[in-house]
Amino acid sequence: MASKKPLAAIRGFAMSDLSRQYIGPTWQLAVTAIHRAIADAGLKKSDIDGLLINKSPVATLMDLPMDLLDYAGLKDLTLCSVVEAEGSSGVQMVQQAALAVQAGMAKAVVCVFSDAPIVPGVSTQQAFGMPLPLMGKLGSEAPTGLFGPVAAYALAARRYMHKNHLTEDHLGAVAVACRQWALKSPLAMMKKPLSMQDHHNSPYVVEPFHLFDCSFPVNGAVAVVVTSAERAADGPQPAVYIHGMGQGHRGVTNRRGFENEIEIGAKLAGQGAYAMAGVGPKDIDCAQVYDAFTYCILLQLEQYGFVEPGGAGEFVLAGQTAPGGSFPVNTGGGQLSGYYLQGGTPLSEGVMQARGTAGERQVKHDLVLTAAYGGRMMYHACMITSPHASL
Amino acid sequence: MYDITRIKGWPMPVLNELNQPHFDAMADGKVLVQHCPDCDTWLAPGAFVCENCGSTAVQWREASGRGEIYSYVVMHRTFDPAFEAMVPYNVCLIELAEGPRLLANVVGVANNDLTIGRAVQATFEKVGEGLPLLKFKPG
Ligand SMILES: [Zn+2]
Repeated sequence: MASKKPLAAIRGFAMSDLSRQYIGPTWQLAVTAIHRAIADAGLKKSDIDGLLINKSPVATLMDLPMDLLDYAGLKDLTLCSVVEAEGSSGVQMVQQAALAVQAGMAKAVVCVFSDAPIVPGVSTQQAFGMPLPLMGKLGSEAPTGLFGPVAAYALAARRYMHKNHLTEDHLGAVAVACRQWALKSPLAMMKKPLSMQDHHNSPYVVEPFHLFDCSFPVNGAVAVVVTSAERAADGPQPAVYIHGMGQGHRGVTNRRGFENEIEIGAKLAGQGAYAMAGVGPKDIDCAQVYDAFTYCILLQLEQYGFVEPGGAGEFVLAGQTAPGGSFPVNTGGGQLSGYYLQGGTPLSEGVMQARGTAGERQVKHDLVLTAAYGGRMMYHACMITSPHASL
Repeated sequence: MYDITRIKGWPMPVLNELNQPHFDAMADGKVLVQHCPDCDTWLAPGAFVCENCGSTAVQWREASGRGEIYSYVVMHRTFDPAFEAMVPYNVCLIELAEGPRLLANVVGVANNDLTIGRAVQATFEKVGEGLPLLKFKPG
């Protein structure tokens, strides 16, 4: 491995309360997470000079406005921005904060994601069920009845399954592994054991996806404080050093020869992060990846190089990503069984694992890969973190 | 996320200046897609430039209407009242013989008989106030 200085580090981390009930507006959850993260970092509000904000793509700017800085009581910021890269923003914010810290534009940057899709009178199905332009070109989703991310992802999953001869057992194995992790996490929402049979017996939402192939929306917020590696080392919490960062965006090409469902930007994002950190997939101890749907874990395992292309289904079916397996993935239960806070979900578990504060679910964490994506897996960002300042 | 226009409750295609000819041509029973004369690449509707060579000379051109199922899903729930009576219904991604892919419903086939690679042929069915919509049928 290379011996390079970290790019920056995560010094503070916190979440708001998480709930399936309405516990306050999006901005309020964000402020709670921000204040808790600043306290966790052992800093004062006056120490914070950067704020990066990310909202859910299905929320409005009114829900999480840029003047969140006033709500949070932050003053004299030298960096403030709304980051809009869909689900990849959770990781992208940390990347941007790291760059800003390196460039001297800010010393301590708070990054926050917040969402409150569950409000009285609106089901999560309604909240996420609108037609989304996820097929690359806008227009035909509504008249053909393709609603919500679940439908667009199911279309992609079918193609991936066909190509790799996968069955619903392979999808189910992903859900079962995540639930096994969730049972070890006090933060996870889904606390009942899940068997393969339970998965298969759950109703179809959009075939091939059963209910348990889909993530579990909650109301909540995640915030981190990014500083220089040196400043993070002085904090009250173990520093999470950022050694590699990458992004990959390939767009969607709707014609023969382009398998958008299989060749995604995650590979590009991973290559960048590995090169920057001077490590390879074999060096990574665990991965926290965005798992809006079961299929997404399988594909990312391949694209980030943990498994050969087409091999993820059997790998997960063999229990390799579950507790006790050779390569722990989404150790907090992920978005499927833990909580769906978009890019905030892998980010939160990645921080807890890298800090070594994941309790009963703690795994070997010398190198943690944290990855998030947005759209129908069009936009990817990942980072490689470690509790060690030098690799 | 975008707003849906409805006619008699039926969601209509979401139109913009880049895709309108494709949807307008459905009234004439034509599958209109785009084509780049500079590199002879057929493109899915909505292209401003050729994604293959970057040319802005992209033109509208009629496709054969033949194709195959590239992927498909079956909606067991819907999120829109207009489709409630149709559940479970399919939505497919059709790869035209010329290469572009279109989102459409396949009619005249049981959901269990949908398969990737199955040959399909364009057909037009009226929805809402009699506006024809491009669908596909086995063939
Ligand atoms: Zn061209």
